[in-house]
Amino acid sequence: MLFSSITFIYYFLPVVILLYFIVPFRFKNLVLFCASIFFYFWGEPVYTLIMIFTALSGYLHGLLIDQFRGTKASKVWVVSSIVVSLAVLGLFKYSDFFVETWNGLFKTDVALLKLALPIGISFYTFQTLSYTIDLYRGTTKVQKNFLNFATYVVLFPQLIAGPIVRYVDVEKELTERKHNFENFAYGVNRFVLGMAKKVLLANQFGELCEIFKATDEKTIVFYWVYALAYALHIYFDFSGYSDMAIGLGRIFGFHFPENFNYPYISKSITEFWRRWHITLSSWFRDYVYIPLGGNRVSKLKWFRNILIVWALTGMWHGAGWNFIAWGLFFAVLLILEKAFLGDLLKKIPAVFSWFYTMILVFISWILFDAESIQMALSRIVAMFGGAGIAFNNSVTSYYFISYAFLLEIGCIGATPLCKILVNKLKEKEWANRVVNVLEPIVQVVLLLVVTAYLVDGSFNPFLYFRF
Amino acid sequence: MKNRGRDIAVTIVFVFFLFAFFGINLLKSPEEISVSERRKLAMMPEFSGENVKSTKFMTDFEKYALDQFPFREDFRRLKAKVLFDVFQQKDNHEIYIAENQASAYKDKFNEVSVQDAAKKFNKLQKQFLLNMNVYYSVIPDKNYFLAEKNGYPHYNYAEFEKLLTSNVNENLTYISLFDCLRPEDYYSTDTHWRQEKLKNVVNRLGENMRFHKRFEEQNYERSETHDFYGVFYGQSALPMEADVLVYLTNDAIKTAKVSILDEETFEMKPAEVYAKEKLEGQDSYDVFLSGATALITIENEQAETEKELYIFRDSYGSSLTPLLISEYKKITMIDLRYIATPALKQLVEWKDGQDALIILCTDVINSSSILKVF
Repeated sequence: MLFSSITFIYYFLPVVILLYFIVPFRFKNLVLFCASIFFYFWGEPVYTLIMIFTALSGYLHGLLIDQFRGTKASKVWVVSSIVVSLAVLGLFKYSDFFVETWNGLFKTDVALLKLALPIGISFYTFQTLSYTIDLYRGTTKVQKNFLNFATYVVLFPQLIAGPIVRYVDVEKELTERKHNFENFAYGVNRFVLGMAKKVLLANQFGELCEIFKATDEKTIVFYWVYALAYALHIYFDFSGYSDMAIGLGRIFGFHFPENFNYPYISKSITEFWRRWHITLSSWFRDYVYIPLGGNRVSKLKWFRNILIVWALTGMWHGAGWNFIAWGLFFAVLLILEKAFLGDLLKKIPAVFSWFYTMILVFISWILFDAESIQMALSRIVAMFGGAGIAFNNSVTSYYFISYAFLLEIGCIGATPLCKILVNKLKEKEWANRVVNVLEPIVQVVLLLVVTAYLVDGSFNPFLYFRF
Repeated sequence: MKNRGRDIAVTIVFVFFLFAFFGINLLKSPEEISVSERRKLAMMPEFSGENVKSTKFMTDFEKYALDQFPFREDFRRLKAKVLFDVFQQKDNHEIYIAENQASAYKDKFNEVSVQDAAKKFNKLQKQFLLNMNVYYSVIPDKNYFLAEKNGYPHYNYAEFEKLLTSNVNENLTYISLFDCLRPEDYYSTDTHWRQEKLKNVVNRLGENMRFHKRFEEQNYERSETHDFYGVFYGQSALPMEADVLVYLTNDAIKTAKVSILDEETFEMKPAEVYAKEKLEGQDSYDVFLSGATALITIENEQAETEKELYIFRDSYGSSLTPLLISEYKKITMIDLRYIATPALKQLVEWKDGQDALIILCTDVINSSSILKVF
């Protein structure tokens, strides 16, 4: 089930909110667990069992790690939990990729498994791993109540698209959390804002990208319009979903970590990855990069660590060589920035370092969106005038003009400008009062317009489903 | 706690909104059809173990929830309004308004399909029309008149026409209609042309096919009906005024004997040139010869000629053909989208020396695989 769907907003959510708030606190996790199972079952009836298996595996491994704490067996159980989780992820997400690579390398004809990818498997696998690893490290306590642990793993607000909520982030709130108007209203604001980002912006930019891909009348300008549209599409899509997740979490009393912090204002790739998909970057930092030695090793090993982490980051995003190339592209840039480029970027005017970052990010998204590395390269070549196509034509002009205002809204919305303005306004008493009155009105207007777009549209897929 | 009031207001408004629509969703009786979109709406799917396991139930429920959402038409209009007036976009579902006309843009034509159409025209001529005077025409869509000068995507219609005519046998005479029409000759909310505006078209056909009378000599009486909302209106939810639908009658039309093929019994059944009951139906344009029909014959009791016409047509032909009745003793109308050529051998009496006209719109020629010519 998609958050940005009529079924979710006007059927599922009212029922869950009603049940959740009428039952006593001790039953609230049960309501969330059942609702989450139903939420997942709606889209993936059979694969619900895999998710429950992952939760059960994490729970049992947690008990064993805790029981054998201080002994070698504890290490065995944490390794076992990693192997089991990654085996499930590998089987469903990467098996065909490995088989295809094997067949390609050794000219064999091993049959593909053709297993459908369970929705959200990358998210809930990493969440489960964060629990068992943290437990082994002693940074969190064992959860002996299966319902509480399973509620954490399957919690529908963050189940299919993150953010990657670590067990320690919500450990306390699984048993003690506050429900009040402040949390609820904040949650509603974030949820509606996220929905507007997804439905009113991301979907429209996605539509423009599809128009670009379908037309035979491609021009250099259209390639750049596509690059901009895709960059905005993926940002508003993913950050919109994160906003909805954070908002829904807060409605039910959970504080989920932030996942985005205006990444398109970054002035280096290093800064970009501190602002983009923050929970994934920090997960890889804490569970892969630092255990490998991080930067406290020789320069050569340091760069090796970066390459490993970013190859894995690429793979996490998708089982394809273009995703690995995408990850390694960032690895090389990060190594260059750490070696010398970072210092240089700090010295040059900010506009140049921002421009440098955006061009590279645009290129990375083209790599990300392409079906193969060859397709990505041909698109990048065409962007820079190497494909012998026209600079502009009437078709490009039409679509550019038609989407110009939305692109402007997207570009401004991707910066903290609005947030800064609203916060500035709120400093003044009179303006604060106006904002307070306007806020519920804006909510209703956005809800109406989002509903109008959903009702008018048909299929409305979420980009991060394949992860 | 200075924002507590706001928090309470936000909470109440959101909860009220959600529960109000949830309640209406539960209480509202489902509607079977969408008049504006001219389609059946999704109904509550059947709940069964098999449907749930295959996720068919869920997929169908999502469709049901969308189709049966309360105030659906109002929401669709709101979306169109926001899209045009707030986001300043130029089309909704590829439909735009220019010069007070709604039109669907197309930025390329299907070369393979145009060539295929030409082959099918040649095949028709060889199979049925060998000893006849065979003509063919293309009806331009509205985009031809509106797109270029209003900055919308369009294809090269001259190339389209050239590609078609260069692939059709020389035995067939091409009658170009591109310069016989203007944008206002089409309904503003619909794809079709207006019957009362076909003077130039009929006269152009008449010049080539040697009609006895010109359009203006036919003494037509006008009948009109208001509130015709065409296909573009419903599909795009565009804020437009309704069209007035006019149909023309003269003595030949009034006394014409119309028979329509019953596609179940394969027998001809009587009908009217203007099926007035269709004016109250989903698509008022169906008033012209009952809309989509595979085979129609029209016999002109008052004809002063023995000439007959075989017309291979699409929906545009429904409103054109009544204006040709007075020139022929009998007209046989064939819509190859609904009947295949092998069936025509038995159902149609082919007579040498008569006229034949293949007249199709650009959209059909661009999708010529739907023409059942075998």
